[in-house]
Amino acid sequence: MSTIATFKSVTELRDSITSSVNAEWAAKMLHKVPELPIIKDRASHLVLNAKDKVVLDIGCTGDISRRIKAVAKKYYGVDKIESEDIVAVDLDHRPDHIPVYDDVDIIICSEILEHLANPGYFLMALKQLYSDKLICITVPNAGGFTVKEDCEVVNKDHVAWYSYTTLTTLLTRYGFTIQAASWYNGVPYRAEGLIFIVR
Amino acid sequence: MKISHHMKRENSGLMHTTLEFVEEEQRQGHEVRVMEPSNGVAPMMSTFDGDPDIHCIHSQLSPHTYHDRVPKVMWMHGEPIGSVGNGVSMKAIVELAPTCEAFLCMRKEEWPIWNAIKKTYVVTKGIDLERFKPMDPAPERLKGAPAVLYYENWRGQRNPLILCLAMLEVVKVLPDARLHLYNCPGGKMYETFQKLINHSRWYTFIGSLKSQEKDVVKLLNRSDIVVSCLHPLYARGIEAFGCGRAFIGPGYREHDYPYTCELEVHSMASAIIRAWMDFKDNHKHAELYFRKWAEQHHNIADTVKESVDVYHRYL
Repeated sequence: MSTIATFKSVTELRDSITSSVNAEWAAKMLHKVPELPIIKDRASHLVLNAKDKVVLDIGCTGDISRRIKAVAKKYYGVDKIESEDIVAVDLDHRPDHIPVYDDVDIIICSEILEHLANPGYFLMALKQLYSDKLICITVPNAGGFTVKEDCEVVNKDHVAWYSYTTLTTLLTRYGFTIQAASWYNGVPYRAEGLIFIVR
Repeated sequence: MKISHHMKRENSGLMHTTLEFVEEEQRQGHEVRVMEPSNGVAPMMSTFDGDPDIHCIHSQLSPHTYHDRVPKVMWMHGEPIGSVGNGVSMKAIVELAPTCEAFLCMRKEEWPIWNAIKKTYVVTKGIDLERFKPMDPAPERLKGAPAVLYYENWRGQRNPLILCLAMLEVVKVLPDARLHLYNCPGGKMYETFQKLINHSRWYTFIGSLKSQEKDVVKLLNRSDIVVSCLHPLYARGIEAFGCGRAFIGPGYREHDYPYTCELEVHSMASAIIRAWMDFKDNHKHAELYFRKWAEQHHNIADTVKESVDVYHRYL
């Protein structure tokens, strides 16, 4: 009987058995998601955040933007196509053309990031143009991705999926500080989307 | 005494129980060794040289040890009917029985079955009360009043479906109750429960569906009531008692415990509600009550003393 034991103590042996993953792999690949609150209705949440504020709404077509406009103290819109109160900007290629309004209280980027082929350029421009402003970003959650038989369930104009970790990495890479984060519509990890408040 | 334990190197309740025996044996002054059955030469851990006084078989035994003339006992961690059902365990037990002096089991209900195969002793099913204890300061509680925790090792029919259904009844009486499902292995099991939760709108009362939590003591301390869906076993759910938390499981009906239930939705819901209503206004009282229950009925120090007494009979 050789008595050269692999482990010096029971604690060491137990830790070795229970840690099912390689530590180096875990450090790179496993990222704990904090317990985030769940927002049941993204639209109502955005409208509430915009109430009585001067709002810059980037990607502003649709019913939610109309509701935001109705409650905002003052409303500026940016989208691909120009119309009343809306300035046209090519957000993918010339995000630096986003107009600067000094009186803006909050910028809303609701379900826009996942449409952009160059999200980094967009965030870099936003940081330069509105360095200290509060920004509310919402995206579909990668964990909510599903398939129906042989079909992927995804908006055909989307070019990316973001998770809590990848969105945090992207935003911090461009100098944003995360002030708050939450899931919307559904349970943690598998919820339909994520709402980040950043500055 | 020099005690050699033989267990598979895999993450299971059996492994945790065996290593707790080893730690307690050390505390009581014995020399210990832990062997992986597939490697009968190099121990995983050892505090002595040479031959042991006794071999304790927890899963399998290395062929190197079969005929070494050292007495052997076998610990029955599993449940006899399931041991036949899985097609492997009972066969292995019966094959090893002739090499053993005796069996040890921890539930008196199993004794007649094991004793029909080999002379069997019943010892206390204990847990390490030094490890499983109320934390001070207490960690942040899981959401819910009560926060109900499920943390079994999920596999096959060992899953929390009955508990989810019981919680539907619980929230009718206790609308703030929340269920936290931990240790979910991922893959198909995760997808199945995710679909159930979304389709049936159980997310109104299911607070978490999470994978393994490394710090089990902290997790137990964050809960109010721990529920198992095992029957007729109760595995390691009694760790909850050590942490001063109520434990409810269809397999647990020891010592006139007041919060027993059947493997049935209404019965389980009723036990959860009773356990919460009895203590909801005094968490400290609950903690003292269930901790005392652990000290009286599930102390691993008793398990080791009783088992060492059995070993002495065969030296």
